[in-house]
Amino acid sequence: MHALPLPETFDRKAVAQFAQTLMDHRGGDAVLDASAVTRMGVPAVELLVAARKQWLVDGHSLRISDASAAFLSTLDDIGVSLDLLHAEAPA
Amino acid sequence: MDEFREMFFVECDELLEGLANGLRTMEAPNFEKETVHAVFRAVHSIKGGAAAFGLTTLVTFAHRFETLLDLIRSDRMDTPPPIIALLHRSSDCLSDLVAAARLATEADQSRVDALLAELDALIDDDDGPADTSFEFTPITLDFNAAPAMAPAAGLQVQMKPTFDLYRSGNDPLALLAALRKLGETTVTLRTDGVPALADWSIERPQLGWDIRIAGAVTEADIRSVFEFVDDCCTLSISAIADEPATETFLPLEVAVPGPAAAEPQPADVAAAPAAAPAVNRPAPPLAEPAQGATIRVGLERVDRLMNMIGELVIKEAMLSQVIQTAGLHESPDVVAGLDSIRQLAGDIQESVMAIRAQPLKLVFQRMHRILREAADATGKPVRLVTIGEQTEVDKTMIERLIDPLTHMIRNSVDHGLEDAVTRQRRGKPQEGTITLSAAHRSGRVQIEISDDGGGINRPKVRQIAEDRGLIAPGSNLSPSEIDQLLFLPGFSSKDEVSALSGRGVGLDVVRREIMALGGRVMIDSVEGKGTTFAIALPLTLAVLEGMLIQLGDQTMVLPITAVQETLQPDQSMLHGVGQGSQLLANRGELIPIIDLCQTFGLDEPESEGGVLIVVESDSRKRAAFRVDGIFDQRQVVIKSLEQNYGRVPGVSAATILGDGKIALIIDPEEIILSLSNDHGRHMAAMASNG
Repeated sequence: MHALPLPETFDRKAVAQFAQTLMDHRGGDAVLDASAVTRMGVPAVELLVAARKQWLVDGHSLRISDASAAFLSTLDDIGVSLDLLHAEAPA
Repeated sequence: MDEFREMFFVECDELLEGLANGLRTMEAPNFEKETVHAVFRAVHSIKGGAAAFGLTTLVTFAHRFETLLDLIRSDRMDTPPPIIALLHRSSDCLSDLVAAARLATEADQSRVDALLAELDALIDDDDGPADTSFEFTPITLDFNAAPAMAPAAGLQVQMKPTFDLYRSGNDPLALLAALRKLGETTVTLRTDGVPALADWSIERPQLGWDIRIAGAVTEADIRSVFEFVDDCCTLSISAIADEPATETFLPLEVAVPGPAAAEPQPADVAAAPAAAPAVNRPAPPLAEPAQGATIRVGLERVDRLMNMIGELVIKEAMLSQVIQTAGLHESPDVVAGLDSIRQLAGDIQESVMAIRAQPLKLVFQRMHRILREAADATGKPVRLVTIGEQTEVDKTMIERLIDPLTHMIRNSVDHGLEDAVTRQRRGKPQEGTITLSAAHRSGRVQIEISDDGGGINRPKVRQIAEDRGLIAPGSNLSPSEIDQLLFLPGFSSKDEVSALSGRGVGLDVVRREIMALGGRVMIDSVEGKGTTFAIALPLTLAVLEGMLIQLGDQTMVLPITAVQETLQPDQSMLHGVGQGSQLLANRGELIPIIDLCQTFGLDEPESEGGVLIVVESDSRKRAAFRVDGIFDQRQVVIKSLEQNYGRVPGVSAATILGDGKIALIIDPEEIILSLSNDHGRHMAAMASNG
């Protein structure tokens, strides 16, 4: 499965653009590659939460792979763990 | 009293929208329990309001409906598809009853009775709603009423930023970091309000935090952190002993099973929140978001404001003209003053447009019901996927889109999708999918209705067109030109089409309605894969950004959204073809040149000079318009030509210029479409003329 790379600077501007990218990839399982993220704001996390819910509703899986240190650090600061941004498709 | 009654019905609209949304969410296998609660609350609120106004039919139905929902929320009833279908039908019926009560008309009682019988069959009559007071009494947070905090075990902060916080360049991360400096903190993210992506908008942030700060921290310490952003977020501070009862947090500390072993989780209750307090604790002041003060304003007042702004734009243009004539246009003070007025007028116009803008969700939501009814009528299993529901368009357009979209959805179910048996034979899922999407694209709103059916049967379409004398037998038509034949008046007829979509209304009427909104309808169909109808609409019906062009002694306006580039070509870029036709060689592409003077029957200039404007239509076709000159770009107020004069081919509307003269607004799509003399294409162009 092709992994969608998350923006390096995942700020408010990038969130608006990436939301559309995510919408374009609805309807199937998806992997988000977080390896390049060097900076991330709260709106980006909210987008990922919304995406998780969408994938759950759609019945597909959504996973985040290769999370960078900056990505994980931001999640830690915000108070959410990586696992809780994952959606698993129904068996 | 009438005012309160009307307010109740307006609230009903919102509750019914929430109800329909919730029921659709419940179609998914792993919907959250909170969804059922929300659905229950919506029905219960409608019932409560209806009782206050003595609307007994509405109360009776809502009561039975909520009783069934109560069984579901208390896990005494599952929600297999037949139950979900019944809930949808009950929601539709409730909506009809609200509409009937609003208009003081009679509802279809036989339908109500039939549904009540279905509901009663499922409900034990002794089981009323268990607790109708439930948890929906709104509690408003009052900062001033917050008790003096003893710092004993520490304090708990609930914080939810509004979009203003982000817009002002702040980030909650900085606030969280500042709070961490006050003592040992436990940060828990609240995601309960975050909708699924399709309904999500960055401008309506929903994340919130529950932050516990241990130790001798004071309320004043905490407030100092929020000193400069206290109007950009909702804030609640309480002693830790008063921590809130909540079931919907995503606690950081919770150990969750690895994804491979994890059960599919409801979106918000992703894990049993070990850190979350017991549910039966006394509820503290809830940090519900202050949604911002709102007022309801009559549409006619907004319309009047919009009209006045239209006049302001015209007056500004006139003033600009006068200044030019008086030779003051080079005075820096005058130029600066005029620019300020222009900027202000633009800002006011945008602000009013924002007031009038409404999400397409209001239309899309109705389509779920249309689809259900169409699926029932045809016996075809269909699901509707909606994308981009939050895309906003002018309110006028919202109302006028309902009929065309209704027809197109019915058309897609009836004619687009194959029946279940055929689909199975073709290796497709038995359930067809219709996707309704919306997005802003290049200054326009694009709405698409796609089906995954068999695609347009072009030989059949061609045959029908020939049989009805719409095209000459054996006409040389491309696939897209054949598709355009569907829009010809008289293509569909009552004796041919089904009772569902063929109610004497053809796609020609749909196209005419869309064109009346300044829009276009395009078709893209792939055999065996399906058909997409795309509607491109302007953002507003009031003004457009236009390029003022000279054609002979006439000034006309070309919508800027269609313009790709302007150029004064070398002779080497021009190539003659056929009789008097020319092509422009530009960036490796050959583009047909259309002389607009010729198109509009104006005197052509003696020289071959002029300027070429490369335009692209909504259907991605390009042409280069030859004009005598370009002399300005500005916003113009759209005035309907059809209402005031009549239909002019190649012209979509008119405007009033600064000198008081009328200028026609060119319709590039129509001109490009009528480029060919081919009969079929000409007919299609005529169809687009309405």
